Amino acid sequence: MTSALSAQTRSAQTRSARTRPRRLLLLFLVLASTCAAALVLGTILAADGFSLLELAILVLFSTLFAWITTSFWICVIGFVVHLGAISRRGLHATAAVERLERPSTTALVMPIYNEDPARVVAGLKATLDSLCENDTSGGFDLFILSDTTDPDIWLAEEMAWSHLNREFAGRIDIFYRHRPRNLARKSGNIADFCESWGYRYDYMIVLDADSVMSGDCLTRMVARMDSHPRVGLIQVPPVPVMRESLFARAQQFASSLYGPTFAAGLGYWLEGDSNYWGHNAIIRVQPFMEHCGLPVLPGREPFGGEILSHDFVEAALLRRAGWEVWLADDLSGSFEEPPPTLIDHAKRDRRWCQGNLQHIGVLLARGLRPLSRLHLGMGVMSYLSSLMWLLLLVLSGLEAWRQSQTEHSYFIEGDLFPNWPVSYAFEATTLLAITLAILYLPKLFGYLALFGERRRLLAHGGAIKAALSVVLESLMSILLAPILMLFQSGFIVSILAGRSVRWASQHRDDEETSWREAAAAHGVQTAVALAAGTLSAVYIPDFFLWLTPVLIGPLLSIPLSRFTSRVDVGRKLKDWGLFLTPAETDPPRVLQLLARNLSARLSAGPEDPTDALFEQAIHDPFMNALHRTLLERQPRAKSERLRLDGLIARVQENGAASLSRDEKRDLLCDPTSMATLHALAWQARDGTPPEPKLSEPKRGPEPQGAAAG
Amino acid sequence: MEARLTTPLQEPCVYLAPGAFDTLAIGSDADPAPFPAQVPAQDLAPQKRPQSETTLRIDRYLQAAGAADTTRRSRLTAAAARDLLAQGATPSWAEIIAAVDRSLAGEFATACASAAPASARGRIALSLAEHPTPDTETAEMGNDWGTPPRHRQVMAAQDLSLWRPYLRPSMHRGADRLRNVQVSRSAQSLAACLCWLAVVIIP
Repeated sequence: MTSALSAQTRSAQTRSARTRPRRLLLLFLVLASTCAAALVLGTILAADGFSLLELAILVLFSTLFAWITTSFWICVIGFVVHLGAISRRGLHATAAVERLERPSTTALVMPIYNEDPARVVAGLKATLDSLCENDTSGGFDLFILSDTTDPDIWLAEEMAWSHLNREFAGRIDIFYRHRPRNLARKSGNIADFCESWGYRYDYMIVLDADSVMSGDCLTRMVARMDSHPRVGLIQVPPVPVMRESLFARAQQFASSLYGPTFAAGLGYWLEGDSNYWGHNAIIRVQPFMEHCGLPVLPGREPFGGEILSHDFVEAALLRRAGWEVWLADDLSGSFEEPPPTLIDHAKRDRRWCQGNLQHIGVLLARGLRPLSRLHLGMGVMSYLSSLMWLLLLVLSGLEAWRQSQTEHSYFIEGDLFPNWPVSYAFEATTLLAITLAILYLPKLFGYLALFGERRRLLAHGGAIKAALSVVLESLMSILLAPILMLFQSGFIVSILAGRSVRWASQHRDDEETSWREAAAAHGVQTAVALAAGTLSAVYIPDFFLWLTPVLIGPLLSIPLSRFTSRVDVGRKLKDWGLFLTPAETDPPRVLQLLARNLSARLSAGPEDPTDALFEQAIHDPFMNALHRTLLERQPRAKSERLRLDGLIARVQENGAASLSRDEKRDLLCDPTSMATLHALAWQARDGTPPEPKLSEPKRGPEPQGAAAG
Repeated sequence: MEARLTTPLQEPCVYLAPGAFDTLAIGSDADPAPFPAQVPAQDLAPQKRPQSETTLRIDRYLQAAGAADTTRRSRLTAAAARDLLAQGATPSWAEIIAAVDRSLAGEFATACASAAPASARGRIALSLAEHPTPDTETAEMGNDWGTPPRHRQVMAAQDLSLWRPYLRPSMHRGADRLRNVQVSRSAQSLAACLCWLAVVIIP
């Protein structure tokens, strides 16, 4: 092991020597492109001398140009790597590594928070089935780490765990832990796992509630970690799948088509300085525990307090401690579900926006690697850029208005020659063309890369349908980008105003947006677009035409939001062969398993209303016992005991419906109260004729293995 | 442990209103009698029940807990009834459940060949199958049974304080010299005059 480590240190040194020139090249390309563009725009603006307004426009434009150019050059190199023109030394498992003293142990950890238990179990079953088909070494355990606050969902999770546990008995150990207090949200949940059970595992693979990973991918991740002792984290890019609304299918297509080239580019430039995206990643537990304990940031929310977007910071801390962080873009079998609608996408953005802006306070933290600062900065920029774009549009409008108010003077006092107006139409058109090329060439690269792999091309619908899908997706992004820009600008303003985001679970079903919901979410955007359009049409008609592509999206945002949320439209396009992805046309085994589990869930018919679960946990001997054995006994103060007794009395008097959600949760947290309620429920049944069928616990079909006992 | 759980039930004045629990337990439209105003006085007094009724109640509970096999149920019922008889008191439901749990725990502990677990676990094993399934027989389960034992090892919060410029050790000597530099009064006066001249002349 020691020699493996020293070999790893040597390889890290050679890697550093290899990657430095690459990164300098990227820096040069970005700076050179930005300087050239800024020079052209500067020339145009400086025709009549620089005003403060023009200077602001130039600064904003240059910053935004540098931002999009960075992505562009990443995609360019990704495209070249994808074609195989450049060989890339990825992170591969090597057979030559010394035999490990013992087989490594890995925990799959899934933090959940008020998620639909049936959906969570369907995803987990698919992952575990796939794992069992691939790996028989038994080195994997699963931890379901619940932070759920809804009492009925909590009970449903316990029942789901019980079923899952029986189904995989003897193959994979499945554990369930519920935290009564959700300290530090998701990062606190993971930290609690590490602090309690980290001693049992070499690695942990973090899953999101909608994550699905193939067994092959999981075992390969572990093999790579085994082979590279200096690697602290490997992130496998998750591919969005399984949603059917138009919005989601367009996202899935874009990610499937453009994602690989972008990820290949990122992997090439960054190598061991990559980033962590919060899930679908394997982490070496020991260094994570030593170096990734998150502090509470000084000050009040939204900038202070608990770190919301913990993933970037954890990657930066691992890098600070000298551990490598890799992006394994060559591994397939890592999936997640995208938000089904534009509004859901925006809601998720609201959380991420606050988390990323909070990184401003971490950006200059002591000892971080420059590339970690870059990752944090890019995270901040991904939201600030929206506000900058909006500002650029406003300032450009003002400049256009100012120009329209000034008449050109052909004769200047003291000058014998007339001052002819100079046209910069060519420069302006060139600049616009270059900007558009930078924005849309990556899409073209993604499309062209398909021709290198026939199977992938066919899986995307073939050359013509894939091209049509690219055009359609580009049109959609033209319409949706300004809407998202307005959303994100609004988020930034609200965060700066001190409004913090609450922790809510993500909406994961294909549920269409109603007119009412769309109007509430996009009403302001429509009004803004209408006002901007009217003002520019009246006062600066020349500018109005330029502004039209940006105005159309927000102006139509209400119908657009509703239309893109429609599942029938998404399905119709699928029937026409548009927006096809390999996950739809040639699904891997793990997604087939997931689809089977989901359809089994649907065919099982409507589930018992979860409202009844609290009552079931009181009277059903099995559920009551299961729940009580999953609770940690905690000493309670006398006053608390009296309060709980009061709640019990209230249940007796008025039924469980008289309790609030929090009160139900308090009773569920206390094993004594649950035992008391159980006994009381049976006491209350005295005098009624025994009806065993009615009192049988309502449970799903027993797995075959369990029935055999 | 279980005795503590059932302690409140020894105080019949508090927990005897039946109406709401009828609804809870069997979904019937029982009269939701407000508590405690309409509780009949005779219900508040400890009741003597015949032994056969206790056996029936144990049997009913075991059936609801998942003991489908009649022979096994009879065995468990007899064990629980013996337990209750040994206590000699009129059994309340809390006591019956505790007795059932004790008899199940005894059976479960024998099947697992490990230390006797908390009694409610036997009820789970009973409901799942005749013998405990692997999720119930993992020997090293923690207190809360859903997880392995915890070994707490605190993750220390990392320092994310802001970077500030600082002098390297090699620069300290030069900085110290700069800090200790001595300039005579005449040199200071000369420098001041030159500064004034610069201000006056240069513009």
